[in-house]
Amino acid sequence: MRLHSQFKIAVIIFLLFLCSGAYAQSVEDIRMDGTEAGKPLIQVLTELEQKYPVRFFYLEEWLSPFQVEQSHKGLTVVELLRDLFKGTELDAVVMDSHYLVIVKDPRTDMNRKALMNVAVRAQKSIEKVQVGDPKKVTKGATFILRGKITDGGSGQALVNASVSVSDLQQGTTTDGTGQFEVKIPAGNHVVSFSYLNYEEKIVDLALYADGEVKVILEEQPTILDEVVVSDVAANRATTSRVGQTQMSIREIKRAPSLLGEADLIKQIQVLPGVTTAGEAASGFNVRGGGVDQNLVLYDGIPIFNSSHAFGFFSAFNAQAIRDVSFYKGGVPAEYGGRISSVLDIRSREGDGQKWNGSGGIGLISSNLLLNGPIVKDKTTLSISARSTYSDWLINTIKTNYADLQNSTVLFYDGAVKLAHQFSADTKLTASYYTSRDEFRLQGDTTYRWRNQAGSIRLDHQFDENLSANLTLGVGSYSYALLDQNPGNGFNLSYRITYPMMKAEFHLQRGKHRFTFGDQLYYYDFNPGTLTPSSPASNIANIQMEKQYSFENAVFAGDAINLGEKYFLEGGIRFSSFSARGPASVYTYEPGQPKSVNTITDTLHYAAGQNIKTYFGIEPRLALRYSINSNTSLKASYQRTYQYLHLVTNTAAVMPIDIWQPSGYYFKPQHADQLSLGWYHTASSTIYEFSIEGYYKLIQNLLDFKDGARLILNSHLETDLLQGKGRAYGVELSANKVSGRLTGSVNYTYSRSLRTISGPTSQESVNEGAEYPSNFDQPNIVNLTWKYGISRRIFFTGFFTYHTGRPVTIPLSVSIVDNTVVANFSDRNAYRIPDYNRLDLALVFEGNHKRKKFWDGTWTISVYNVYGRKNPYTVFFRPSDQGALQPYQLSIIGAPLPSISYSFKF
Amino acid sequence: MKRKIIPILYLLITACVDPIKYAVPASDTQLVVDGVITDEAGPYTVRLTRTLPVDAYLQNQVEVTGAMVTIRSNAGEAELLKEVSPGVYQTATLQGKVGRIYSLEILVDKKTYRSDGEEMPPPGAIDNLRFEFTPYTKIEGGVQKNADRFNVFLDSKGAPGVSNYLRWRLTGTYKIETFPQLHMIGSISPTGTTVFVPDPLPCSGPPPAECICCKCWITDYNAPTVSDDQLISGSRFADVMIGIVPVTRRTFYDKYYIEAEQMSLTPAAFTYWKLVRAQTDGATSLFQPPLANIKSNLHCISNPEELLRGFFMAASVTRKSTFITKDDLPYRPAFIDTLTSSCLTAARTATTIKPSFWP
Repeated sequence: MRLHSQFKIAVIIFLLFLCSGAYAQSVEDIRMDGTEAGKPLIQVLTELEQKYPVRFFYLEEWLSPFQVEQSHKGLTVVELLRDLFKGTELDAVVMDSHYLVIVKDPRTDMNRKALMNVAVRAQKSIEKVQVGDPKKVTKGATFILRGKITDGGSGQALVNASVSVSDLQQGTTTDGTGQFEVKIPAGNHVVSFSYLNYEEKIVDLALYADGEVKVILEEQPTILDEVVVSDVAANRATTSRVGQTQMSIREIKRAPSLLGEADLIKQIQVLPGVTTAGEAASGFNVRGGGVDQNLVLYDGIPIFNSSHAFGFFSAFNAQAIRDVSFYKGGVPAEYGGRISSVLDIRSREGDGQKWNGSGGIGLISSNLLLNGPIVKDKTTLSISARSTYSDWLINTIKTNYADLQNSTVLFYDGAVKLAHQFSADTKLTASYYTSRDEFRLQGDTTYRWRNQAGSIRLDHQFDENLSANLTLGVGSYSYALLDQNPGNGFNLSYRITYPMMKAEFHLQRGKHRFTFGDQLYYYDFNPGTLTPSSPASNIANIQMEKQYSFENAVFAGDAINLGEKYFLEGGIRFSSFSARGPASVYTYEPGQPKSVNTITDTLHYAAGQNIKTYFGIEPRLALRYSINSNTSLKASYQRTYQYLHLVTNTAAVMPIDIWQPSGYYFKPQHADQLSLGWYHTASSTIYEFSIEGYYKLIQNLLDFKDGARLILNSHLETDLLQGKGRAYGVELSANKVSGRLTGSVNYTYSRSLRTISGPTSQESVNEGAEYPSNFDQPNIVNLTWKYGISRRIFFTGFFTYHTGRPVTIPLSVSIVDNTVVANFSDRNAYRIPDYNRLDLALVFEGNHKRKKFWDGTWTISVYNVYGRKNPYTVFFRPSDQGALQPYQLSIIGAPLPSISYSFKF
Repeated sequence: MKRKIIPILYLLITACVDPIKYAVPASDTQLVVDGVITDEAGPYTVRLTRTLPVDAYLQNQVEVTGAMVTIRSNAGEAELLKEVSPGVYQTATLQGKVGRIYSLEILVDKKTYRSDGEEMPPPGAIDNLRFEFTPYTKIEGGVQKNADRFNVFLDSKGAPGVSNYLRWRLTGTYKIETFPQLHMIGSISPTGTTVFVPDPLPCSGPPPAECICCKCWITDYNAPTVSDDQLISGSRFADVMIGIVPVTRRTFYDKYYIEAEQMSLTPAAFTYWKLVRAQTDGATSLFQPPLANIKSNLHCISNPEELLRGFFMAASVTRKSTFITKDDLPYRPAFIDTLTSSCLTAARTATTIKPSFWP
């Protein structure tokens, strides 16, 4: 407001002078004589006033930074001023030919003040920072503000934290080492630094030179969500990529959940563009892609199975996660190996100051996280674990199958992270994660599966522009089936072991932020070992031939800030995959469908001998164009390669499905995706709207022939087919991001289609015609909300509706050998009934004092409030009279209440 | 293995199976061929029917009559089958032999259908057939019901020195008795009330004439189980569960006859039955194996696009049978429910002809 009045005063003064002014040479005619060079602007203007019958009106503080550096001989004074004022809010206005008024556009400053006011009201932490001396600044120069954002507790660099110059609607995010760089004009600015689950920091910046800031963000002690975080919205429109989502762990914990288990993967499944085959299905499907096409990284190591208990729960303990980035498009070049999405999970590092912990107690499992310093501010440790209770739950429920009384459902997961800060520039982190499941029926088959991932990462900052990180790790995924039957008991085991190495560099050069590096994997697949479980068992000893391969990728990317309007991120990834011996490969009669009967020869490869090498060139491009401060357009194109295929002959992925590396017969899958998005933040910054569209083509998808046996099959090429996929969709979303009631509504229209067209009908699905995939759900509506009943009590809810997934149904029956045989439609030609469900939760949080010993939260939630029996599948069973009767199987056919308690100390 | 997972998740979660309405579109009818030649003594039967809508009663089979049905072998044999009843064609003299390749040819409605050649594999042997009483409860309409049963197992071996593709099937036969002479009919009395008066069915006597619809034998067909010996050492199959015998007041009114049939199949027939089995198992599986369209080994010569159903098998067969008696039960079953209609209405497979194996 003050500026506004300044402007008024200037005008009044000017009018006064208008009445009494002298008339002589016009201001516009005054030309510079060259003597002005090297003088401060104020001095130049004063001298002109003495020389000519003209007056200049200005505020001294506006012009004091300006210095006339060189001679402007021959130019008019107006031209001189306009030249100096270029890029600032100042302008020169000639009035009545003898007066020159220097005016300042008040909007930017007003905007800045307004932002500060919002921040003050919101009790955000505000720091005043001045860089350089305003006196020494020459004209409207721009300067570079560099810095690093770290976590106040652990000192860990915060990656992808958001830096937003709020008054200019300009922003960036930190790179892999927490560094950022922004170019801003000299003067006063409001810069906000924010990161999920951390308190936002506002810097009232006065920038008059290149400068560097160290920003330390504190983790939010409890909830401050009632406050208006006005620029979160602006951030979304100005900083994030098309198709990128960052998830807040707190929001995951507050959402209603199945049996009170805070679940990361379940929250991913409600994002626009993500679908799942059903409640009991492992994993998730992104934009028409398969479950195996998601790269799930835990501290940089891929995890092959992200589910516990066949998909009911996710394999990650929400307490142990620091942050999660999810990309369904615009995947940067440093990620690769899966074609549809990236879910990058980073685990929590220990607190550098003091020991503390958190945990949760639920109906199914409990978890605990402990973390703190071993050496204060130098070495930290974080340990977390989650486990189901014993089998009391399953054994106390009345069974309708007598032989199930002593069954087992058991899972646990745990993580350890050790971090050591050698110096301000060098840090070493070691991380280990494991998850394990066991599922048994008494006297029958036990299913076990297990993920392990261990990594060591070295971060080093060479100088303010160059940093690097090196990760060495090894992961493994294994499963086993055990059957103790005396006559035909068996042990079947399967294992993938994958050591890996990744080196990544970040280089800042002017407008460019380069990322480059290399990633190498070595895969050791044991596709199956079968042994009898007792000497009496009739099971054969079978050892499948192991499969060895290398996957390497060199990548380079550049994020370029092309002025205020454009931001471009480009990258390229050269990937290669090489299948190595020892191996034997069958060859088949050319022109015939591959089958055991058409085997002609066996090729033998020696250890280390190259069997087949594939190369992939993967361009990645993301562009943002800011139409104005509240609206932006984003576009991205990506090509991604995937060399490992999950082969499943079920609609819902099983933990005991097999992964098949590319090789002699199986070509790598690759996908091209084009996405386009429009983002708008309503000026009030309370509402956000976005529309994203995409079109994706996938090549060399693997599918199976009907009746194929996948496990322990040494000639899988005879049972698998490769085909094409096509997916497209539009995702509309509206969010209310602040206020007592927050929430979002999104609607997605999408299709996911497959074509498997081989040379013969045996090698085709649906005679080679395009058909919907198992998870093609064209219409999806999701609604989530959170209402603050008080500062500590929240009412949250989730509603979902989607089109039923495709199924294959019988169209007629025949009787063959006294058996009813159903004759099915084309694959996935029909659909199960539509799905809808409402979940509600009440969250009671502890008080919000920053310093306290214990903080507890109760969550009472009801899953499937109106008890709808949503079909998981539809099937037909002969009735007594033989006619086929349709049935539906619902996994959760009743309201499922739960209560859980989580705490922090 | 997969299908056993579901029940436990039933427990964990409130899973449920409910009948629903599902509009299945009408489909064209297709020719169904159900034929087999074995190494057992003939006659061998080929049944020709048409596919039925999914909601049709199976008694309402549409037979295909007046066809010329021929079985040929690579040894030069050929026999034209005789239509013994509508849609049922039988051989008179042909004897199936292991190692010969058989094919079927059908001429009907001026179209010729022919099967692939099926080479009859050598037979294996059933070593042991046994049953195990298993207490069981099931929940039906929210009510727990006793569903005790016998699980039936066998141990067997395939033919030595070859790949074995085996199919086992358990068929069970039991006798029921009904009381059609107790049949009543409602009639309006002069006072206007409904009274029930005895109305014995014509087949039920009256005494001293013999009741010809009082005693029936009912056969239950379990879904065939299949296995090959690729993961098995020495083609020795052990503890194969081939089916169940439900314990009800009817099945153990007298005693229960079980017969295990082991067929050695060709790889093509094995795939056919494996997919049939997957239909039964897969429907309720959590993991939803896709239900495949099962391809026939017959095709129309003039129009290869025409869809056909069924299979013509050449299989060698071995059998083993025994009775399960009331003494094998840990308790006495309740007395049989009275059915005041003809025993032929009790089940689709009910017959008043006493089977040869029944004492």
